[in-house]
Amino acid sequence: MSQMPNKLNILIDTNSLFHLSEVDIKEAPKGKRSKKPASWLWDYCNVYICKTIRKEYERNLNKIVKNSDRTNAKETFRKLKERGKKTSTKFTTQIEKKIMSAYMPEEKLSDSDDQGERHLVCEAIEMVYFNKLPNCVIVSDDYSALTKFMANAEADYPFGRIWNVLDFVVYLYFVRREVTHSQAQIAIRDLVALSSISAKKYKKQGCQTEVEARRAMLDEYFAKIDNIKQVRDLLPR
Amino acid sequence: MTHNPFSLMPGQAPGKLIWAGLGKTKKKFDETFREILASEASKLVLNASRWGGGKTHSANYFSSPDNLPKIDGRTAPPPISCIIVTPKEGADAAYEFYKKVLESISIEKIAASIKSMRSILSDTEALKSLNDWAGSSDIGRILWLLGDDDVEMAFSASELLFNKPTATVRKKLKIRRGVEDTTDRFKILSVAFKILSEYDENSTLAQTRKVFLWIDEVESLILYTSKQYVPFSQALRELIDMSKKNLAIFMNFSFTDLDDLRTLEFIIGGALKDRINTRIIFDELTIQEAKEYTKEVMKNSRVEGFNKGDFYPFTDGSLTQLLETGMKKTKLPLTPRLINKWCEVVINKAASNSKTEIDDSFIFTLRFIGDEIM
Repeated sequence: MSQMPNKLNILIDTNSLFHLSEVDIKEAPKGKRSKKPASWLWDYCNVYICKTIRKEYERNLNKIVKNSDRTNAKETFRKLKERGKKTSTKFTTQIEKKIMSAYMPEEKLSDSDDQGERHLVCEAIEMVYFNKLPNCVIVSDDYSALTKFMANAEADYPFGRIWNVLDFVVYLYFVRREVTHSQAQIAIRDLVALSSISAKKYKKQGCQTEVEARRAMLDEYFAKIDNIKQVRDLLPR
Repeated sequence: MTHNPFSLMPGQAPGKLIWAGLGKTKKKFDETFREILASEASKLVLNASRWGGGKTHSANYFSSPDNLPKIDGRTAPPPISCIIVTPKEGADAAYEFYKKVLESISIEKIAASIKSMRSILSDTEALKSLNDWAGSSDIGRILWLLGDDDVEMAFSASELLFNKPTATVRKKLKIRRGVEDTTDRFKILSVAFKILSEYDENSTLAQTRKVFLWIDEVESLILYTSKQYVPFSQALRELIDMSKKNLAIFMNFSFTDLDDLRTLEFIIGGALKDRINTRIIFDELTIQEAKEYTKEVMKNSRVEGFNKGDFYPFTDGSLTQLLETGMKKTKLPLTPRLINKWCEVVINKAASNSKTEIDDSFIFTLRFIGDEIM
């Protein structure tokens, strides 16, 4: 008997939502409609949206829609309003003050522009603490926030993991048979090209140019899905 | 030596460039050029190497007709070469590319060939041919007008290569529409290449000439999303498909590892990858090949009557030592750029220490940080 898989609990950042909206996979398995990774998010995960992120997304959406055809981004916002689960937390401000003062003692929270990321971390901590969720994954592509406080919070508070959208695509390819190897490759290829997904990590590892860094990023994630493919090929559906 | 001959930047003056070492790569290029020059068919060549492998140098070097291999008994007219760096911005990449190609070849040169075509074939015949080649009477007419004796008409036509026509201009030039999209633009490039291959500025060419289009840094396509690289690579594919004769496109592609070529399709797009009919993969240099390369670079800048040995200011041993230590410390394979980088620094350091010869002991004093010598 086939069993409905458990859904992953996701707290997602504005930038990752935009990035997923950018990707459009034309290729679909025979007889199936083409998929957008943004819709994978809603189909395969419990998506939790905090108020800050919702506001941030709406604010940015209005800005970018003026300049281009962002039907995917608009569609994502519609789903976000309809299907995004509210985080329903009460102690975000207290947690934020307490833990962020440890990670960013020199910085005034009101001056910092990573409010969305801070709230995601605090709400993840709170929801897991109160057993509203057993654990969760924060998906964010803000490299600066990651190095500034998110990675520390991930290490210090066992709420789950922090991924970027590429990790998210790899995860989906790992757990969802519907996501094909080629679809995962296309999604990764598209995400790697987005300049708002930082390649600094690879520059720190020695890549001298942006192109070289993005190439290294592509290779790393292609290697991951290639490894997963070998395991998928071994295991029954 | 007259100067330190090692430089990080590839030289750009085609006539003054030398080819040093890299014998196997040169042989592959010579074979490819012989095939291209001996046959009419167009070709898409992929040149792939590690970063700093010598691809840009190759483009500059082979852009000089003197550096092309000679074909026995044939005096082919010198090819037209144009080197374009892949646009870094994906938005409007196809338009940027089109603009760069036209500007690199020069619109005046294209116009002069059209003028020559009109005078040789007659105006009516030339217009008919251009309409046929372009598959559009409006695009054909815009090109035809480029070679018009009326300077104002010719200039208005040249403006339409980049801008939309106003109703007044359309009426004046007797066209229904201008150059509207990427397909039109690449059609123009294809027809321009055809004209240039058949007509010189003053006459019909006794024998067709080749057009070499070098596209450097194709790996930059990784910065394009699929919405951007798919139309760009499809436009290039169309250009290849429309230009069946006398065009050779060389795509220079850098990789970190030879394995990267497995994912080439995801960088440049499947449509373009499928059209590649020749691949020139630059081999990594062995110590012996790197020494040969270094020797030949230095040979070119020796003063007359020089007799202190092939590797001077290095000794045979110190050069080997430098290359071996460099490879060991940096864990990088040897490429011309890396060798240039190291040799340039070492020669400058030796000169500033008033050394007349670089021996093993001097090499032992060098510190490698990353791929650099401090």
